[in-house]
Amino acid sequence: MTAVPALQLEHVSKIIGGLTILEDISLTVQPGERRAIIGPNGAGKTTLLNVIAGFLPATRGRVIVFGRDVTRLPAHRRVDVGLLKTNQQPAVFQELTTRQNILIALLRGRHRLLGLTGQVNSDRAVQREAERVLEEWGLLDVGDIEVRHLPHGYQRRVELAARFALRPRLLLLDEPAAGLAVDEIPAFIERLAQLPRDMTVVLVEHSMRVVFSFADRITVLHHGAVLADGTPDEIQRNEDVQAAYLAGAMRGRNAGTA
Amino acid sequence: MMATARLARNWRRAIGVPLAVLLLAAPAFLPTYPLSVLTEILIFSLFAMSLNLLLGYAGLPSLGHSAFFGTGGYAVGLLAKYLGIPAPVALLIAVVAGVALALITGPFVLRTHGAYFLILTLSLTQVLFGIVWLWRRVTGGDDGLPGIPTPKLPFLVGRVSDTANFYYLALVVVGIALLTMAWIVRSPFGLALIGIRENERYLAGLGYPTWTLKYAAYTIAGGYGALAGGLFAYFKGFVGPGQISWLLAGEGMVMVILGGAGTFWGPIIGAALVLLLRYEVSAFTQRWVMILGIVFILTVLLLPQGIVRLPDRIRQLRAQLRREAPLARRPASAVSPHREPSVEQVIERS
Amino acid sequence: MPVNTASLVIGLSYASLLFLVAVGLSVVFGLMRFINLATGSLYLIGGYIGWSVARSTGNFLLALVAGALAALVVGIAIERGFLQRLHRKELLQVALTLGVAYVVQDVTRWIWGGDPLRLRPPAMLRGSMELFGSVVPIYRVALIVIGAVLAILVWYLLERTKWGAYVRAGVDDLEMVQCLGINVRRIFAIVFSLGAFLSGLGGALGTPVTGVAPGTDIQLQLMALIVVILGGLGSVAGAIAASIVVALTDTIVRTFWPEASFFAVWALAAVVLIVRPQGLFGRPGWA
Repeated sequence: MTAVPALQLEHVSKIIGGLTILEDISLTVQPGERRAIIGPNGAGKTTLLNVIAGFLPATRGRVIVFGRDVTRLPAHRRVDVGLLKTNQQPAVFQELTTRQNILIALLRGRHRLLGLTGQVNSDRAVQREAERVLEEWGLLDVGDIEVRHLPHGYQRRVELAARFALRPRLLLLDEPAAGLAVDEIPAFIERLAQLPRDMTVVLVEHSMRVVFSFADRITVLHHGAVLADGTPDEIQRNEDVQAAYLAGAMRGRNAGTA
Repeated sequence: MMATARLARNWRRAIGVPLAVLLLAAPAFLPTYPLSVLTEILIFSLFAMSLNLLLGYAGLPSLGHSAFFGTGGYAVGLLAKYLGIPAPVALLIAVVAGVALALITGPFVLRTHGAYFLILTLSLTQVLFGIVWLWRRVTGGDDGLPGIPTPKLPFLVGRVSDTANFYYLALVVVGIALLTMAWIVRSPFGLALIGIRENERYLAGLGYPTWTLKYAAYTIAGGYGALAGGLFAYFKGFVGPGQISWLLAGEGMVMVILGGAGTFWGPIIGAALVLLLRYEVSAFTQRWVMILGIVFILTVLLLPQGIVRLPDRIRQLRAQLRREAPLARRPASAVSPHREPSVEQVIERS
Repeated sequence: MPVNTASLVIGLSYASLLFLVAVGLSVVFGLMRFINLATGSLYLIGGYIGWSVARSTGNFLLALVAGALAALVVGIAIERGFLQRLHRKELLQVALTLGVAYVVQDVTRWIWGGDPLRLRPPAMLRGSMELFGSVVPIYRVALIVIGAVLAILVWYLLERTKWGAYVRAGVDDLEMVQCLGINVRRIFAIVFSLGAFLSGLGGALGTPVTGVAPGTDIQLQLMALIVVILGGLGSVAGAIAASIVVALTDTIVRTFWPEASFFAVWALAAVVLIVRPQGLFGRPGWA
C-alpha cells in the first residue's frame, strides 16, 4: 500500500497578464523525499514555490498536500497541513530580536481570540521553548539583538529556526544557498543532510553542488514547463536537459566537487 | 555613562508611580485653566494611542481616524443631549458606534495598503464629514450640537471644582483604557501586529490570519478612538464637524510620530507636546501654527523615530561617529558589569 | 438649464487649475511614492507672490513667473532636504508635508493677512465674450486654453520624449531603471521641481478666479487628492480626465445644491477607490 504523497501538483498553470509563467505542471513528491527543482533563470521556479505555498493562486490545476486539496486555501491556512516555506531573502522580521522572531512562530495559534488572551512575557512555557530553540540553533548569544544587525547567514538560521518551530512536514526552500560564499557551501550541504528524514523537502537551487549532493529526485523546469523529472543520474544523462542548460553547470560541478 | 544608559532604559518603570501620584494630586495644585489643558491632554493621549495601534503597531497609515473620534462625539452628543442618557452608558454606546463604523468600513479600507490606504481612509472620513455637515436635522450641520451637559462623579460633587470633577472622570476612563491597551500591546496579538507591519507576507507564511488581525486592530482602534471622541464632547460640552476634520486626523498622526510610533508611551508624550505647544506658544505669539509646523519638520529631520526613542537615537549617532556597528540592547536579565560585546565579537565567538 | 455653456466654462477653467496642482502630485507619487500634502501650499505661495508682484508691477506675466518660481524654490528646498531619506516612509512624508503646509499657511497669513485676495485679470483678458450663445468671462476661457496647452505639453513631455520614457519606466519599476544606469536622483529632482513649478503657476493663474486666502491651500490640496485618486497615480492622461470630471462634478452639483458639492466629490473618490483602487487610469496591483 502506497503512502499518501507529500505533494501532488496536477496540471498547475499560472498566467499573469497574458504571460504564461507556469504551464501544465504535474509532479508528485513522496513523503520523506528530497526533491530539487532546477532550471535557468526565468523558468518559473520561485513562482512555482509561491503557488505551492499559496502566496500566488494557481490559474489552473490543483495543489494537494498530504492528500488535502489546498488549491483554494490562502497561504496561512496551508501551515495547518505542515507546509512551510523560506524565502530568497531570509523571511525574518528585521526590527524584532531573534528571540521575538522565534516567539512569533511559537505563539502561533497558542492563545485564543487571535492571541488577545495571553501575554507574551508571562507565557513561561513559550519563553522556555524559545530559549530551547535559540540554544539548539546556536542563537543564544544573539537572542536579544535585532535581526537587521545580523549577517546573512545568521538571518537564514533564524528563518529556519522559526519555521522548524512550527514542525513542518513539507518544507519549501527557495534558494537557501543564495548569498553564501563558496567556502560556506560544504558546511551548508552538511546541514541540509542533517534535516530529519521524516520531513519532505522541496528545494529550488542554482548551486549544482547543493542540488546533486542533496536531492533524491530532480525536476527540471524550462520556460515554465517540466522538461525532465528523474534521479540525479538520469538528469545528468538527459540530453534535453544538457542541451537546455545543464552542460556548463555540470562541468562546473565536476570541477568544484571536494 | 553606564548609569545614564540604565536610567534611560528604565525611566518608564521609574516614572510610573510618581506620575500616577502627580496625576491624582493635580487638582490640588493646578489652577483651573492648566487643569483643563491637562484633561485635554489625557483625552488626546487616548486618541493618539488608539491611532498608534493602527499606525505604529500594525503599520496601517490611517489619515481618517478622526472619523471615529467624531462618531464617538456625536453619539455622546445625541444621547446625552436629547435622551439624557447618563455618561457611562453614553460612552459605552459611543464605543459601540465606533466599533460598528470600523466593522462596516473595514472590509473596504483593508483592500489597500500604504499610501492608497492613507488616501482611502481620508476619503471615507471626508464623506462622513460631508454627511454630518449636510444632515442638519440630526447633527446640527455646521453649528454642531452645543449644550452637552458635563458628567460629574457624584461622590466628588461639592468637594472639588467642576473642572476637577471632570478631570478625575477623564483620568479614570483614560487610565482604564490605557491599561487595557497595554495588555493588548503586550499580548501575542500585539506581537503579531508588529509582524504585520514588518512584513505581512512572512507572517502569513507562519500561519497567521493577517487580514483578520488587521480587521481586529482596525476595529479595536476605532472603539478606543470613539471613546476619546465621546470624552471630548463632554469636555467641550459641544460636538461639531471639526471633530471629524482630516486636520484632526493629521494632528493625531503627528502626535504619534512625534512621540514615537509603535511605542507605548510615545503617543502620550506626543499628544502632550502638541497640545502644550499649542497652548503655551499661542499665549505669547500668534505664530504658534508656524512653530508647530517647524516642530513637525524638525522631528522628521532629526528624530524620525520619535522622542521616546531619543536614547536609542543618541546611542546610534554616537556609534556612527565612532564608526562601530550599533550596540545591541542589553538583554533584560543580564547584569553584566563589563562592556557589552559588539555584534561582530559575539558572532566570532559562536 | 443649469448645465449650460457658462457652467461648462467655469468647470473647465477650474479643471485647468486642478490639473496643474494634481499632475505634480500624481507623477511625484507614481514615481517616488512620495505623498506631497504640501502641493496646496505651493499653490498658495504661487497665488500670494503672484498677487503681490501683479499689484506692484502691474505685469501679469511677471506675476505668473514670479509665483511659479517661488513655488519652485520651496519645492527644491523640500526635495534637497528630504526626498531621499523619506523614500517609502509614508508617515514621515505626511508629517513633513503637513509641517510645511502649517508653516506656509501661517507665514502667508502673517505677511498677507487673513482676508481673501483677488486679482483682476490682465487688461487683455478682462471682460466677457460670447461663446455658443452664452456670455462668459474671457479670462476663464483663457484659462481653459492655457490649461489645455500645458496639459498637452506635459503629456508630450512624459509620453513622447526619451526623458519621459525614463520617468514612466521608473513609475513601473524603479529598480530596473536604476539598473540601467540612469541617474534616478536627478530624474526625481526634476520631476518634483516641475510639479512644484506647475502648482505655483496654477496658484498665480488662479488668483483672478479662485482668489487666494488662508484655506485655499487646503481646498486645492483636497481637490487635487481626489483628482489623483480618480485619475490613477502616475498617469498624466488620468490627471487630465479626472480634473475635468471632478471640476465639472463640483460645478454642476454646486448649481443644484451648493453645500453638497464637497460631499459629492469625496463620495465619488471613495466609491472609485473601493471599486477600482488604482483609479481610472492607474495600473492594477499598486493598491
